[in-house]
Amino acid sequence: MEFYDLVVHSTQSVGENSTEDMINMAERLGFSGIGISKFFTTRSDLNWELPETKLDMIKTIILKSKTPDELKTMANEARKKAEIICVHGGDYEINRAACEESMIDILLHPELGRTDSGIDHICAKAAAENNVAVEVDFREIMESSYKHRVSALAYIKQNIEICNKYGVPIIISSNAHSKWNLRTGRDMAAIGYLLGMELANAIDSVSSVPLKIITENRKKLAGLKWQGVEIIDKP
Amino acid sequence: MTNPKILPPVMRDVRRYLIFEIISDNPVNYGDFVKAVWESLISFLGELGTSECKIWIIRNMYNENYQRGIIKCSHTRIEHLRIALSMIHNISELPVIIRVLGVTGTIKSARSKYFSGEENELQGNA
Repeated sequence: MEFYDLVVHSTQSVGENSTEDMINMAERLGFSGIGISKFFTTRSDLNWELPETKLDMIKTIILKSKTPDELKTMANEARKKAEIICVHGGDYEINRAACEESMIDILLHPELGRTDSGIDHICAKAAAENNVAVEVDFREIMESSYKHRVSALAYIKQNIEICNKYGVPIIISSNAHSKWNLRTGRDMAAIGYLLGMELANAIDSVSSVPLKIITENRKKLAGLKWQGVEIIDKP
Repeated sequence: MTNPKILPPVMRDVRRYLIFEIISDNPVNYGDFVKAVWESLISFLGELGTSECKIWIIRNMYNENYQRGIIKCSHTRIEHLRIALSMIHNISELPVIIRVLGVTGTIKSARSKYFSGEENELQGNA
């Protein structure tokens, strides 16, 4: 089974460990690919190189914006270079704008810092239409305790329920800030199962769902795929 | 003191054996590990949830050199135990990752699959 973790922070963004340390630990935990993430602030953030390893290295760009308009401008810029575009969720306006934008791949932790789940049926319908995946943040559950963990679990469970109903893809990622935050793909899938997903779907959310997003985006970046059209074989 | 008779097979609990490995910079001793597991189980699943797991950490199967061991658990609560183990990120202020290597139906198969080459090098089956 090939496992992918699309959101991992190294010293290139807010993480504590170097990219090499994260790669070594991910290799030890049996991942096939990891997404080293970076926050998008200026255009120069889009030009970065990742070391070549046995793992599939994925360039993940996280958009952190204050208004939906700003988000759209940032997404337009980032789409030309980044393999995966994520949106730092938490604000309802941003969550909804992310769900309604087809250039976005993943909405990260929509329930972060809120007293509700952060997405409703309108967002979920839009996300399903635009193929935007909703992320389950493993670190948020792991590092919190007592009341905070209880509310995080409750909101994530509600999000999973809404996503299941409207057919929104779900991704489970570690969102690791240090190499000790990483967990094996199968362990991350277990949290999806406990929070209301079918076990097979939970395992898919750390393996085939991320893989599908990566392959589609790579085809688009290589100029082999557009909206509704795909070059299958070149003569 | 007499013990109760062994139950007929259909009445016995169905168990699974979960094999884990502790990844850390320094070796973790057994006592600290057991304490961390119970703390994590009770904080994550609660007392009632933990009682349903029917946990038994097998002491003589814990290998301190290779940081591997076996936990016995009810077959319906394996995923719960997996999560409780992955929630442990610190054992006596040492950052750790507890990685589940596999789940088996008997101790014998756990031993042959994950502890067979103990003298030389343990197999790293995931």
